Amino acid sequence: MINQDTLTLTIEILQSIVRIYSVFIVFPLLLIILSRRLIQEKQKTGTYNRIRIIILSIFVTVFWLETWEFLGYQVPFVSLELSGFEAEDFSFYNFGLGLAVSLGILLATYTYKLKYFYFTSLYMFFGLFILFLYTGTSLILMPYIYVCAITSLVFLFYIGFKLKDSGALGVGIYFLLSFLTLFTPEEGILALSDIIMSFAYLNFGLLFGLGYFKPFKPKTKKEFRGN
Amino acid sequence: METLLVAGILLDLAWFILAFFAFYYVLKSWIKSRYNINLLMVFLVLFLIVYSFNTTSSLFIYLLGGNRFSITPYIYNKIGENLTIGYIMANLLILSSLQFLLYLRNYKVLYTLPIVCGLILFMALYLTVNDIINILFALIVIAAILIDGIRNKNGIEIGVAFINMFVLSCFTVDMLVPNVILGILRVVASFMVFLGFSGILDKTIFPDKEMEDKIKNTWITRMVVKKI
Repeated sequence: MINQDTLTLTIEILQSIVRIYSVFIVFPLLLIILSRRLIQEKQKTGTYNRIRIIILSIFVTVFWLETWEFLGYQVPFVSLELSGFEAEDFSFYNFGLGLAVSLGILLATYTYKLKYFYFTSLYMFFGLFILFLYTGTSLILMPYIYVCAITSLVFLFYIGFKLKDSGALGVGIYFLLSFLTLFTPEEGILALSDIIMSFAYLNFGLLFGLGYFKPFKPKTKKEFRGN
Repeated sequence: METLLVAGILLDLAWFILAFFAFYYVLKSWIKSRYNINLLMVFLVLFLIVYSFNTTSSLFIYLLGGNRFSITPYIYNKIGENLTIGYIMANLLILSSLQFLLYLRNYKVLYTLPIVCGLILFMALYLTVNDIINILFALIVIAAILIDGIRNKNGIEIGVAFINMFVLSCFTVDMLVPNVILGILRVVASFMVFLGFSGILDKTIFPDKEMEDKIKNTWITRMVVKKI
């Protein structure tokens, strides 16, 4: 039988390893790869690919909130209250979370060319932020984040399968895996599932960034001619 | 006191008559052309008149004793801290003007901005008594429409900007001098709305010289052809 203290210590060490892996290895690599790809495409074509910019922005905001989670848990002089990891209103962590899900909706509307709704989610998010600065509360931030997260997930999967777009599907799967970690317990033996899910979405993000996620075979000229 | 009362009645009558004439001209242009944008302006002016009647920001009523509750009891019922039907109507007018500008300029990606701004403004009034954010928003919309109207030499746009100015001047104040100033501002704003919607601004301040020259040249050519 494993001692309860040993189990708790082991879980904490594994969670720390996941956070360090995320903040110091996965996200810096991912951002370098995505930025390089963006610049290379700009040099080749002369214009910036807007979808690449949106995907890069999503990963930058996720890096922001992973950093605040790391600071809250691992750095002694930064408390969880300062990082706002468990806050119900705007905090450093929730700002990144809200922006990430809003950018997810932007990616979905941009890919599907719904011109009237491109920036609606961003207007709403920054409107809630202005409301928070003006009144001290944003009233509906958490419901907005949950609704946006579910909507962006559904949209990204739908667009990914309908338009056979690897980018939208990849971001959708990434969001789904990170969303699932909200439901996994963080204490006891079942915390291992949280650690496994965290490793899964981090490594999936890396695979996606490196360009290995291509579930849809590009059509060749022979197929178009019906040969 | 009696002189002030008479002045109050005259000021209130003046803005009402001018607003009515603006409505007449805008309805006439819609009946003539049937464009959606003219229909939007018809509703805008009609809404403005209905709103103005219901805010009891009248100088006349203020001088009588200012018992607004007996005239329009529902207008000041609060939802939350400071969200009243008067504020909702005022904000809807300003947001409609912003939507008008975006529709006119065909800025499709900004079409949902007024709806989101409306939601935030109503939530702000629900949460706090302070209405500065509403006033600031109205001033920004006025400036945007005015600058665009002057740049494009469009009298109707300037009229729409002054609709917002009129709405701002309907905010009630419990002091005599500011109320007199706001009363005069209402007349000036409704006069500018009338000038803009009747086409007088377009004919006098923003004449289309190219069009005028073309018409003159056509007449000259016809006269020369006739002589020949």
